[in-house]
Amino acid sequence: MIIIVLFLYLFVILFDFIPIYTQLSKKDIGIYIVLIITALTLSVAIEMGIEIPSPAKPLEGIISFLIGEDK
Amino acid sequence: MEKEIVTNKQVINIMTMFLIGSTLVLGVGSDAKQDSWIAIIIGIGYVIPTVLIYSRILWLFPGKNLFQILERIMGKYVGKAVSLLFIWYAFHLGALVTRNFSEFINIVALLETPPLVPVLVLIMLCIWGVKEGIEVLGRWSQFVLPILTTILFITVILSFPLGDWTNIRPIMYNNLGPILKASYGVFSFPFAETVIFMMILGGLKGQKGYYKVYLKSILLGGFIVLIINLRNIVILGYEFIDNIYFPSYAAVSLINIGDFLQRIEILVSVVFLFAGFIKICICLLAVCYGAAQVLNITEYRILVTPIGLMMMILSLIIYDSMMEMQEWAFVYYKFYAFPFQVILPLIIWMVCEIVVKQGNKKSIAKST
Amino acid sequence: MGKSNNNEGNKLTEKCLNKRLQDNINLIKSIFTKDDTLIVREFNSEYQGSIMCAVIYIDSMVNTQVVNENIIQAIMCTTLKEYTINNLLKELQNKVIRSNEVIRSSDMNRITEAIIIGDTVFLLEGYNEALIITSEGWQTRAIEEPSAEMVISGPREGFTESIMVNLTLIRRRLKTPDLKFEFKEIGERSKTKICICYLQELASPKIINELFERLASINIDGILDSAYIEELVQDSPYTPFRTIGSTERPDVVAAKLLEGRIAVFVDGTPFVLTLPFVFIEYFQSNEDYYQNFLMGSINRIIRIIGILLTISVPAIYVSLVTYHQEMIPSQLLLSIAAARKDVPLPTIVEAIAMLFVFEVLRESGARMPTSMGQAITIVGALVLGQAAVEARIISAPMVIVVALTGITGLLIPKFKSASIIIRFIFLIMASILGLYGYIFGFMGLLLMLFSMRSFGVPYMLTLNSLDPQEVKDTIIRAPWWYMHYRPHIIGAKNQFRLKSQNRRQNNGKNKV
Repeated sequence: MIIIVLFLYLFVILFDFIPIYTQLSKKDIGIYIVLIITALTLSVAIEMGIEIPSPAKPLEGIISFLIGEDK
Repeated sequence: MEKEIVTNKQVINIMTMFLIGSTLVLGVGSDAKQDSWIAIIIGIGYVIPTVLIYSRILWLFPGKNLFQILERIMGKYVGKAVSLLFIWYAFHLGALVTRNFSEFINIVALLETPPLVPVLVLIMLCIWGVKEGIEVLGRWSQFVLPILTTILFITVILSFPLGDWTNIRPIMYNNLGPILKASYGVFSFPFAETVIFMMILGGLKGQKGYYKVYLKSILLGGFIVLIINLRNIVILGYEFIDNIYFPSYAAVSLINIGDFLQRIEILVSVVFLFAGFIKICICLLAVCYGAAQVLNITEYRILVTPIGLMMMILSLIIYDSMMEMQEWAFVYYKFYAFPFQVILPLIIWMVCEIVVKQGNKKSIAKST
Repeated sequence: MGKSNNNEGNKLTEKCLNKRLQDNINLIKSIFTKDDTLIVREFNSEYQGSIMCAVIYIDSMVNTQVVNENIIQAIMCTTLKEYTINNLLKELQNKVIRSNEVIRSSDMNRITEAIIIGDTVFLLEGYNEALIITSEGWQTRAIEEPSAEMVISGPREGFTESIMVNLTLIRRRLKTPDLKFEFKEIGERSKTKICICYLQELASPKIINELFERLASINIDGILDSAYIEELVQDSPYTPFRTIGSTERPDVVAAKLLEGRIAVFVDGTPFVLTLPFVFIEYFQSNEDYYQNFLMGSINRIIRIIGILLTISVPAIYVSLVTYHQEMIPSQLLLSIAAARKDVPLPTIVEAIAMLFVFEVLRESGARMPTSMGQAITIVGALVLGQAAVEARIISAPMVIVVALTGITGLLIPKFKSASIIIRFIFLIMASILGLYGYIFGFMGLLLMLFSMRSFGVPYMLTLNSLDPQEVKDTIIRAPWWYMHYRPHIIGAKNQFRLKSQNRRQNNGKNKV
């Protein structure tokens, strides 16, 4: 399954990035690479079964704290 | 950012589809049980002044979207910080909608397929759509919305024989309390989510005021939601609506004309998918506009793919199950969204009015 | 490539004509070495004591009657009353040679080109200039009905390969001086003549300029067909949809010119390009206008539904049978299940195999000599259809599905390439995600269509909204007295088609 994820990102970079590579400024390329690598790491992590904490839980905690538990 | 030309009509279409988007999938106002239709009407009543505030903010700074306005009135750093809050809201919302749809497709139709597959295809399409730009999305919606309304209209007509009007009664059995609670739920999902449109509309050329656009969309979208909700209550009765995940889908699946026209709920899925696609696209577009503004990039298009992929990842990890998603949508969401939909816009509005008044004073002082 | 051309050009311009006839003749012969079609005819003229002159031309490119009577005979037999030695050539040009176009030139490039086109070159002893006399007369095909675009009622003229003949066909239909023809030459070695034609009051100058810019940027060896230009000039070259229309019929071109479009004629091919081209034009046919408006509207609606069917049916069938069996009415489901009982292949493989076979049949039938036609029909119908079903390799419903797809696909020949690709993509998506895959595919298709432009005009021009004004000429064909406006944007320069709004109703009340 990880192979599929890697292939997917390969495709993304091929079709998305390479065509406009030459027209972008350094800053744009930098930001793009940072974002893609974040996404890639997270995807691989999910595929490998590592559990990534969901931001929903803390938010729910905060809200129920603020509102009171009667909901 | 290149100024793109979208006509008023196209924005109305996009906004209406945005409103229908996940509403039809999940259903609204179910706290009020059989009076949910009253809750919807009241909810629309709440949202109209809110929407006027949104339009007013956009009108005070013509040609700027929310992020640019924030930087203008609050200075660069505070503006960027507040922008980040809104970006997070849009991002989270997009992931929520994607997750809604992935659950829908998974539970209703493709039980065996891992939910990653339809989600991936959906996100790829949304990335493509956002890259094309809001102009193309506007034209697309202009073409698609009439088709969707026709399909919905047909399902309503076809379900007449099944309708049991006693299901609406007793009207207001529990008095106003639950209705008001539910109406607040309706306000925050989906109507006040149009706050997201503040993030994308201002940057488009050729618009003077968004009042009409907002109002028309709210009324049209609200009308459609109301009719569908009414249909669901009439066909299913309130006990079922509480217990089923996807009331619209269940309602349409009961339609059976002459043993031939049956199980046509796929048509309803078509409506969901098209409208949901637009909703996710708008959320993604808002995030990309915001990120481009915060990072000082001129062209938002390069950011679309990574942000889209991250939205997909968030949608995969955000919940473990359908029940959690329901709980969030009906219990917690209205509180979570309140700051973004009401508090922040109010503050921004007031600051805008002050800044503009000061600006007027300055220019009057200069000229005299 | 560019460099060697320049060298040749330089060589030519280095050589020039001098005053001796034999030198000139040898010079031209040296340019056309190993070209046995070049004919040199030397003869005496009446003047100066039988001064020698020569005519040079290429065999069967010229109209020999013109050469014989108007040049050779004229020079041999006419007597000039007064002439001087110095301007004998000029006198011959003005008073003796009977031809509609005579040019005097000493430019070797020009002379060579003239010989190649079919003009005759006249050389006179003692002069270093030559006369280029128009005398083209090669064979062209007669005007006949185009086999690819037949109509039941309507004109039966079709374009031929000669550009001048084609231009006359248009001129006869639009007898206005507003009709403009601009010539250009494209192709390094083919030097193909093309003509850009438009009605100046109607066509948008922006589009015309854009077209000229794009044509100027073409750099190719040879243009053999208008499709070459189409590919090099069109927007969105990577989508399967065309953004430039092509047609073989003059009435179609005239109608499009009247809407404000621009036509491009290419010498050597009967297919004329029309631009801009929007999606709805796939579904419009000139015959809709030659019949009753009800008939025309019905035909259009049939075409639209047919195209929807041809791209969707295989995908929907595969997805219903594989993923959503509950949607099929129970009787039908039982028959399909019975038919599929012993078939070893999964439905998707069946579908792809049958579609592939259909495409093979179609492609092989397209260019086959008629003698083999019967064999193909037998092979196709009997073997693949009947025998395959009986051998339980393919299920009968699949044959029906593919047949339906094929027939509806033939409704609009121009759409074929697009429909094959789209059909295949839908099929793959449907096999992965069932009907949702098909829906996703459809969303993507719509997205692509709405993002395309043809020379600045949005591709789905009139399909955006249900504006009654637009529906009149798209999904249906409204009677002429309702069609007041030209299409948006394309005909924006002059929006009004008709002056009169009313048509006198003849209810038969005026009886004689």
